Amino acid sequence: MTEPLRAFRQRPLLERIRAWLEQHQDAAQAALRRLLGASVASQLTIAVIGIALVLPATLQVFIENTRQAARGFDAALDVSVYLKAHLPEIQGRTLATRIGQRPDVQLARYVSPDEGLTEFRRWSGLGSAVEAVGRNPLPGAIIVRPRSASTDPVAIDRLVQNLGTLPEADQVQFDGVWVRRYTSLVDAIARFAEILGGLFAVSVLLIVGNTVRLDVDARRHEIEIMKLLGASDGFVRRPVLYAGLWYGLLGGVTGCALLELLVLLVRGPVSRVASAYGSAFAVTLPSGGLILLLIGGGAALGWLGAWLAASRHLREIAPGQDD
Amino acid sequence: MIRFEQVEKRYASGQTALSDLNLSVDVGELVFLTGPSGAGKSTVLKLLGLLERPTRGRITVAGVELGQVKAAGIPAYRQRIGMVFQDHRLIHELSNWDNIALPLRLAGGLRRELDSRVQAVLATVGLDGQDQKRPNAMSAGEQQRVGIARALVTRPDVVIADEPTGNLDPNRSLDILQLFQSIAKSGVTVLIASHDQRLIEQLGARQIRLAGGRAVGSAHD
Ligand SMILES: Nc1ncnc2c1ncn2[C@@H]1O[C@H](COP(=O)(O)OP(=O)(O)OP(=O)(O)O)[C@@H](O)[C@H]1O
Ligand SMILES: [Mg+2]
Repeated sequence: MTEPLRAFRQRPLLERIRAWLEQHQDAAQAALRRLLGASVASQLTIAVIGIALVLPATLQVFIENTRQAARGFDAALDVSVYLKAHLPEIQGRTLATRIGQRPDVQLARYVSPDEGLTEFRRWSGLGSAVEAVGRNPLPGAIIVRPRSASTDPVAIDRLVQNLGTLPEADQVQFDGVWVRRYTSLVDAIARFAEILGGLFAVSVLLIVGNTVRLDVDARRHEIEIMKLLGASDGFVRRPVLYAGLWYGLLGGVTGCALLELLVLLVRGPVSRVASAYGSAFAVTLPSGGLILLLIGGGAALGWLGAWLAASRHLREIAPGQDD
Repeated sequence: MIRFEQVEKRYASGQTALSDLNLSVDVGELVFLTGPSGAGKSTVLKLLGLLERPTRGRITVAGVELGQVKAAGIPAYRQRIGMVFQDHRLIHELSNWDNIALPLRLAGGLRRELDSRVQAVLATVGLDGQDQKRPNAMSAGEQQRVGIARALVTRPDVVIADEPTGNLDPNRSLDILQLFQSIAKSGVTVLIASHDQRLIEQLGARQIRLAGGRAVGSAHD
């Protein structure tokens, strides 16, 4: 009739690997078919996972955008060094070059009293008042743009102090304190988002675990029969793990779709607010990295949730005593 | 092929199902386990399927001493024997084809090898062309044939069956028992627990009679 079974075990390695791959493919397909073809319950599970993932992800998009906005504040992080009155221009320019060479400085620009006056006239609207004074009251100044200003408040404090000790300097002024507050607030929100993300990850584990456990209970009879015929724990576990993976993956895709929708909905209003403040700031869509994280992370969480919930459960299912 | 030596089985409840049982079945033999209800027939088969372990004694099947098979080795051992049940134990969500192919897949058969084996074994049990039906769209006798096909598909050395005709009328029962007889003729060792005294005698097969957990006689009518 047919070749005895034992021959399967003595096969070349390549054929055994192939059989193993086929088993995985079968398990993955069967799990997906059951999940899609089946009940409203499994679609609900996917939706719940999507929502659980979209909440921390929304916060993440918010953070990415506020950080993006903070980059426009760079000018506010400039340090102004007002030079002593009557310091010759050539000395001021030399000093600017020297400061510009410091490792913690990105750029240093000398502003002569005349240039200073022109700039002041332009943005203050007090041109005629200045005219009345008759003579230019402004000293020369050096505008210093620190490197890594927004990330390292200690370094910027040191820079301000150092510049203050220069004999040519009269006064050093730093206006970036509020930017610093802003970035540390964003950092705090980011930390909060991480914690929230962790909590929601745990909730995805629980949701998938619970769903998969119910699936296993519903298929208990089938699993018993398989074990009776010689299925290993690994064999009966495989489709369950794939089910977890699919739940997480489809949940991740759902989450991404929700997130895109959300961003598209707030995008218009936010840019109207921004343009009211004279900014061209626009909300950016979730980054590719975040989308990958949502889908890949969802799949990994689903797999893990299924493993945690079902592997012991499946081991405990023994072929029933039939009488 | 199958050998019990001074086997005792006491269940956790304290019930002694088998005591000092000795029996042996040769290669290619068809043997019936008979005896009154509670005699220990099912227990013998459960021990053979490693669904239970004996409390004492030695059991050997196809050269394997079952006491040496660890928990992790049970799946591989079960893949080597064919089991048939009174209630078929078919998976109703799957087609006949998928039910019968399952033991092959468990044993590591490749996808391209499955169909020819499944079709061949379906022909052996007289169900040619019924591979796409679901078990619950078939009669009890046909379902039992699917169960037998599933037990045979890996071409095991040993097939054990617990009351395979328990749900069938006498005509269907005789058909099934004759099917087992032809399977044994092809070289497979077959051990069947059964109540069908009259049919067994009609077949002229060897019986091992159990009573109170002991073999009380071996008759060859
Ligand atoms: N899981 C179990 N736990 C405790 N006792 C059991 C268990 N299974 C069987 N027994 C007992 O062991 C004895 C033998 O039972 P077994 O099922 O082997 O008998 P049997 O010959 O198959 O009977 P039947 O013809 O009714 O199927 C009986 O007294 C039964 O009550
Ligand atoms: Mg019984």
